[in-house]
Parts: sequence; C-alpha cells; structure tokens
Amino acid sequence: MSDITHPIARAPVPPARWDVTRARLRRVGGLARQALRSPTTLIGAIIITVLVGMAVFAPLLIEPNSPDPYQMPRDWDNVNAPPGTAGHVLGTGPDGGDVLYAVVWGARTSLRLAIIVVTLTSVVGITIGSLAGFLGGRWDDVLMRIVDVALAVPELVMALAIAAVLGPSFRNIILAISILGWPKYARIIRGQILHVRENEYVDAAKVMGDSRWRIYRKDVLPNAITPVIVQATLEAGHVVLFAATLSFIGLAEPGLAEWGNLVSSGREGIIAGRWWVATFGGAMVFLWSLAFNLVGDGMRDVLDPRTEGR
Amino acid sequence: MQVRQYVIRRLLKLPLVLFAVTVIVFGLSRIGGNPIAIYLEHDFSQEQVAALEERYGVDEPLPVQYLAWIGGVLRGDLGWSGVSVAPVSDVLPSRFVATMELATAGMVLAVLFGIGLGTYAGARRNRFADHLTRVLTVSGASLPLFWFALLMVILFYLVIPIAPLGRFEEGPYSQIVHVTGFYTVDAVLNLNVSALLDALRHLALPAFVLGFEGMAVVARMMRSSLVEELGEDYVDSARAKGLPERLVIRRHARRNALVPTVTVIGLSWGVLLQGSVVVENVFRWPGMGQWATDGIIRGDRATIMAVVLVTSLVFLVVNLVVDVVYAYLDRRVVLGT
Repeated sequence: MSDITHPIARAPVPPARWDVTRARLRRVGGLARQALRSPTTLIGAIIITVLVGMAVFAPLLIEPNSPDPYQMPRDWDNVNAPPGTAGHVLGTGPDGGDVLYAVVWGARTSLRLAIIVVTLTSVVGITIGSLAGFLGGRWDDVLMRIVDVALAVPELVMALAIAAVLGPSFRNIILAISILGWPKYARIIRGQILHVRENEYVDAAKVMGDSRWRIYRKDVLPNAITPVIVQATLEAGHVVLFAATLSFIGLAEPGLAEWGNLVSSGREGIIAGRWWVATFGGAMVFLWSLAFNLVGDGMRDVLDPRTEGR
Repeated sequence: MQVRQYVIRRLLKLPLVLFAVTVIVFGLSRIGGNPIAIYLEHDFSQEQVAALEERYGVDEPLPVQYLAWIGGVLRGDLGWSGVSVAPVSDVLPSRFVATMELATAGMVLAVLFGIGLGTYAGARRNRFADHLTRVLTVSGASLPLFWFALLMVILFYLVIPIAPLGRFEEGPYSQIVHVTGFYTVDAVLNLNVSALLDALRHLALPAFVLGFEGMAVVARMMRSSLVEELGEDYVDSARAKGLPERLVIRRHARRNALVPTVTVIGLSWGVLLQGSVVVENVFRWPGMGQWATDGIIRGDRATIMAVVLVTSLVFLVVNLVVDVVYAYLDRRVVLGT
C-alpha cells in the first residue's frame, strides 16, 4: 500500500519513449493472450495462420503458372477430372483448371484483396470520420450526410452495378468494394472521437497549449481506434466473402484463381454429379470468413467488457 | 427532443438520400458506353435513335440530362430490357413481386426461428445449447450464401429430389386467378389447395436458404439482449415473487429484449433483399435478382440499373420504417441524438 502517493505530489515527468512503447506492447500481448483463451478465438486464429501461410508461401507450395500466376493453369487433356487423378489431387474444372491450384493461389488472391481493400477503406474512413468528429460543426454535418447516403444504399446491389458498369474484372471488384466500404469506419471513428473528446486529459492537453494535431495524434486517436481495429478484422473476412459473391455472379475474369470464381465455374457440373469444383471453392470462402469472424468476435469480447462472456 | 420531432427530422432526410441515390444510378448509367444505349431496341432505325438522342439530350450538360432521365423514370420509362426483350417497366412489376414474396417468406422464417433460438440460448447461458447456437449463428454470418444455396440444391434436388427449382409448375399456376402476384396469397384467395402446395413446395427451400443468415443475425441479437435483460433488477423481483422461470422470461425479459432486436430485424431485411440476388440466381427464381444477374452476363445495363434503383428505394423505405418504429419503442435513441 505504500506505493500510493497523492496524485498532485507526483512530479509530471513524461515517461521515456521506449517505456511507452513497451507498455503498449505488453498491453496488446496481454489482450491477445486473454482473447486466445477462448477456444473459438483460438480456432479462428489457427485457421487464419494456416490460410495466410498458404497465401504467403503459395509459390513454394505449387509452382506458379506463367506468365500470370493468378490465372489457373489449364490441362485440356484432363477436363473435369475427379479428385485423386494423377497430378490433380482435388480434380479439375470444366476448362481443365486445377482445383488445388485455385484453392492455394485463391488464398493469395484473397489475402491481396483483403489487404488492399481494408487498408484503403480504413484509411479513408478514419480520415473522414476524424475530420467530422474532431472539427465538428459544418464539417461534421456535410461529411456525415455523405456517410448517411453511402450507408443507405444496399451494398451488394450497388457493388454489382459499379462492377458491371466498369466491366467484369477482379480489379473492378476491388474498386467497387473499396468505394462502398469506407463509411462504416467513418461512422465508428466519429462516434468514438465525440466520446473521447469529452475526457479530462484532452482538456488538460488543451490547457497545456498542445496543437490540435498533437492532441488528435497523442490523446484522441489512440483512445478511439480500438473499435476500428475490431471492425477491420471483421471486414478482412467480409470483403473476401463479398468479392467471392460478385465473382460468383460473373464479375471476375474467367480462369482467375479465386474461390468464388471456382464455385461459379463448377456450378453447371453439379447437375452431372461433378461436385468437387464448387464444393472446395465455397468451403475455402467459408473457412476464411468464419476465421475472421471468430477472431473479430473474440477481440470485441476482450476489448469491450460490456459484452464479455456473452 | 420529442419522438415526433425526431421522426420529422428523419423524414426530412429522406429526400436528400433519394436524390443522392438517383444521382448515383444516373451517374453509373453514364459511365462508359452510349448514354441512350439503355433505351435502344434491336431494330431501331437511324431516325428513332436520333429522336431518342434528342429526347434525352445527350448533347446537353449533365444536369439537363439528369432531369430528362429522372423525368423518364417518373413516367415509367426505365429503358429497354435486352434480357426480357420488352420495356423494363413492363417486366419489372412481376419480377418485383416475385422477389418480395421470396424475401418476405425468408424474413418470416428468420424472425420466428431467430427469436426462438435466441431466447432458448439466452435462457441457457453458457450451457451446451448456448454454445451450439453460437456456432450456428457465427456460421450463419460467415456462410457464403451462393455456396450454401448450391449445397442445398445438391442435397434436395439431386440426392433427395423433393425440392423443385423455379417458382411454379405450369399446371397449378394457370388454374388460378392472379390478383396480388404473390403466388401463395393468390392460391389462398382462390381456395386452390394444389396451387398452394405447389407454391409452398417451390418457396420453401430458397426461403430457408435466404432466411438462414437473417436468422443467425436475429438469434445473436436476441440472445445477447436477453442475457442483458436477465441481469436487471426487475427480473430478480419477478423471480422473488415466485414467478416460474418460464414466465419470467416470457412475460418480462423477452418483451424488453425484443426492443433492440427490432433494429436487427430491419437490418436483416436489407441483408435478405440483397441475398435474394444470389439465391434467385441459384434456384432459378424469376425475381429481380435473377433478372439483374442475367443482365450482367448479357451487358444489359437498363435491367441492372432498374433493379439497383428499385432495390435501393425499398432499402430506404425499410430503413426509415425501422428507425421510426425503434424511436417509438425506445426513447433513449431519440434522447441520444
């Protein structure tokens, strides 16, 4: 009990930079350990590790197709081969595309998509939401009306229209999803900032004469960012599912090593009993999306004590 | 702020969002390609094309073009559907009704099973039934709808052939007078049992698939808000006066837990409406979603834009209704803004 001192008696010595970083790392590590104690989060984390590992090491696992490794190699002599065929462990599709290749390189396609879309949408969303929340007034009104509109349109149908107008290609799918994704982040970060701004330490920083930018960077953003990180984790799963849906509908270029595309190319064969193409493709989307949902949920439970254990 | 004021403010937002949505759809219809392409029929002469260009002012500035376009939309001129080989406005109503029938059926299933499952799990917190529900709801949110639909087709169309594809069989469908366009409702109005059975047989599987994700969302929300309510003091006093647990849940906790669930029900309506695009595509259900996906394959922009416009409008109306209902149910929402 002797280490409790009166707050005013403590000298206002700012901690060294390294100490702050170390304290933060320790906190993140502690939270991660706490989250992984839940079996569902642990399962999700393991699936993510396997899938991301598959994506990163895809060129070592299966020799990349040349010239474009994201296109499935075609084996025209072995069309619609069932799983277990020599050289095609998971079989081939109606155009001789190797299903295993699409499963492994599809992970790489998904990882690439998730990184691009989540980075783009979160940076844009955080910037716009921060401007609205921190500047307030007219800025807030105008920016939030734009967010209202963007959140009021049905996401899938709008993405479908954008991708259809721009022409079917995976790049346009990424573009369409990115255009529609940022408002979620903007709304979350704005709400958080409005809340954090009311804290006394923000007033204290103002009194000490810190600039707005410094207050935002040092006091507001670090305390407002947690729900955004949870959202970004959930979105990393959601955008892959979303993109797979669009390419299933027919908005990706044919032959792309992508899971939704795989399901799309295999669906006609189902009636003839060729179940494997569509089944493996869809199972991969499901695993990816499930894993990120499990981890995102686990993170939310740890970070938001209100829902803990529910 | 009064609830009424909040509702009025919410209503005032609608025109702005409506305007924005029409501008987006208009903008999309002008990107790439000839802006009047959506009105062209196969056998148009040079003069007819010139007349169309004149009417929709392709040489005029964009705001004028927008006015010409929105004027056309308001008159019911949504262009020419290459997929259906007919004007969009002729085909749209039947497609719209088919989608609504499917989405409504899915929603009913989602709400009934979602609330039931959520209550069941919430009342048995951290027991086996609860964990099982958790697995089910998380899977529901992660399941690729297109894949789930295909698996169900494999199972119930190929392996155990009990579910037909499409919306109806010619025989029973032609026996009845179609009043509302909802096949199930019309069959009941005609008191025709074989038509009703036919309608339900076709509707059941796609509605179940479509409703599954919504059910997961509703069940999840219902469970967590029931758990929250069960921790409140009024529940303790209900238990203290000797009310059986079943009635504590049914008469007290569940009623309050339903309030936040209403929002989620509204949200999942939007999810369902969008999911119908994929489900209709897989089950060959002749609604707007299948129409739009056919349009994508043929590059038929008039059809795609009409579906986007109508779906967005329905989406806006549903969101509005949910917000208003919720404001009346829970005044804290109003005070919070």
